Amino acid sequence: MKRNWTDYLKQVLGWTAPTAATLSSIWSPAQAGPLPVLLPEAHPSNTRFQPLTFVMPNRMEGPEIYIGHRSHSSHRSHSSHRSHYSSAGGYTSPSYSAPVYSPPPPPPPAPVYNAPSTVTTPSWSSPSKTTAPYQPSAPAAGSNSSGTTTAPRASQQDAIAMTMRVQVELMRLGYYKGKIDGKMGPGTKEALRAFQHAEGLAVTGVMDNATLARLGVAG
Amino acid sequence: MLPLHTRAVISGDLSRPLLKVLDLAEALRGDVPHEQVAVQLDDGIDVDTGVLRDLGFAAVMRPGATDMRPDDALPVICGLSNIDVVNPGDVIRVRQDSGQLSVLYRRGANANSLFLTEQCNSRCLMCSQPPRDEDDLWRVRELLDLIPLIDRNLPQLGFTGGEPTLLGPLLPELIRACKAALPRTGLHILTNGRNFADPAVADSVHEAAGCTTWAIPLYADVPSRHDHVVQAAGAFDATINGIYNLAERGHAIEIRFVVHAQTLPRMQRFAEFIWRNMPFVSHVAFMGLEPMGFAKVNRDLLWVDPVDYGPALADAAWRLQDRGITTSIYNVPLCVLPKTAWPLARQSISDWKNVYDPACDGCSMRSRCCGFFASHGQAWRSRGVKAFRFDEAAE
Repeated sequence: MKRNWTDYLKQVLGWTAPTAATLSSIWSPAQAGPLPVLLPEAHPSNTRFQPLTFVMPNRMEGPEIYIGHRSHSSHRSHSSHRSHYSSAGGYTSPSYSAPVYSPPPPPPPAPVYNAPSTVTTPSWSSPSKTTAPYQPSAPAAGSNSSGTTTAPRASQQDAIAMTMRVQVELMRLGYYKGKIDGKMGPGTKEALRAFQHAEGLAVTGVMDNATLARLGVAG
Repeated sequence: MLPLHTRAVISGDLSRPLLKVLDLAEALRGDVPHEQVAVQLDDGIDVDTGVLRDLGFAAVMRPGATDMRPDDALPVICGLSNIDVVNPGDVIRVRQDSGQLSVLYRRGANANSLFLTEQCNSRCLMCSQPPRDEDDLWRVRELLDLIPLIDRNLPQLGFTGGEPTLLGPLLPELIRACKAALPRTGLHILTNGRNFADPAVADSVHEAAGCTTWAIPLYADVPSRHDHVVQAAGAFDATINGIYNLAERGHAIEIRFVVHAQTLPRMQRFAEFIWRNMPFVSHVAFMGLEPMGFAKVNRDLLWVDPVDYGPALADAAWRLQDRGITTSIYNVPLCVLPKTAWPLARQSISDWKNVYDPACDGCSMRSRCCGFFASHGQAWRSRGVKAFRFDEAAE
């Protein structure tokens, strides 16, 4: 029996093309889109010169648990945090992700998300953003200190440790020359601002997730 | 050669003898529980140790400093006699009373081993670690504390002794501890295998299958010779049965053969024996003598210049390698081996035991050569030791 080579070739291409398209959608820069890689000349030439880089994206989508942190030197309540913490199994987890610190459960979704009159699906429910449920309430965390909305917040211990990590990294990069003391003092804030400015981030002077990610101290 | 021990000045009371040394950035990352961490601080950096105390850290380490600072709020380990001994990532044991500081795990070393016990049921003529009949169960307790402090990305961890199967149920417990704390680490356990002749003992280590290589010495193809070398009647039969019991249960096995005057006469037949009777072994290792312990006492009984056994060794090793059994030669410098054996020679001696001869200066093969044990001396020096010129090495 004579093989029909045209059909055979179509079959092979039919199998490889979706795979190749999947690969290209994962590995090419986001704006390149799922162009058929079987035709490399169809690529816009500029995309070939954009290297694939990872800028620590793992921190970016989590709740902003460090931006509200103010380190009061007189703050003594962390001893209670500590006992609570060790009862939860000590410092065994390397991760600063939300589930480890057992943030208070989010408010029941119905009252919060039914309030907008629009019937469009909230963005956090899209399957790609599985870590986002806390995001909508996060902006309120800084201003609303009365405690009616329970935004996730790092414990005092974790915040001090994170501040020290930030100080260490800022010192390594030459932005900070003061004492590594875990306090968010004026020197540290100034160094943070300088770093954020130099990196083209929003100049907030606080430990937001984008800054932590850029400093490489996320998670 | 970097020693494993040094002395230090310790101010303040340490809450525990075992500590993981980490630099500040890694300590704060929180991968290791704070209460088991000694934070290493460089001289130039100004850190509020009170905050470190509040965060629960165990101690501060200032290797170069002569004494603690007035405002230090934590126990301080400083004034190391040799500041190179300890580096961030290492696990140390600190003896508060004597000031002795020992490295139990060294990050980045080419070989990290746990010393399980000093007891043994054999008395090998060339034993580099002569056994002692002492109750050393404290070692196991210490190891169970040590294992969780070892870096999780360690590729391989050795168990050595002594004979680890003499620990009874504690050996499976140590294996379990390693599997729990270091799931990606392979284990390499040195044993004479005799106790595995009992199927119940072989069953007891079933959790090791898949992540462990059992390194078992076999010194001949006949009982009389092997039993003489290990100075224990019936050892050969027990070891052979032990090897089969382990293999039957899916374990990976490495056979070790130490080359000296007492084993040399059967070396070719030993290679043939392995090929015919245990082709399932994953590795055969031919090893030069380590001039330590009993080997020093029995020097005249054991010594053969490696130059003289080189060709026979190359022949036996290739006989196995050519038939598909991975084979290696350890602890024999390249210059005393025939060049045909070079592809099988491994650069292997642990960092802290390894030295080079004065004649090695300028040798162009040095970076590929195992060198010598630190205990090597004139009595153990081969007449074949020499440096290779660049063009010789290039051949």
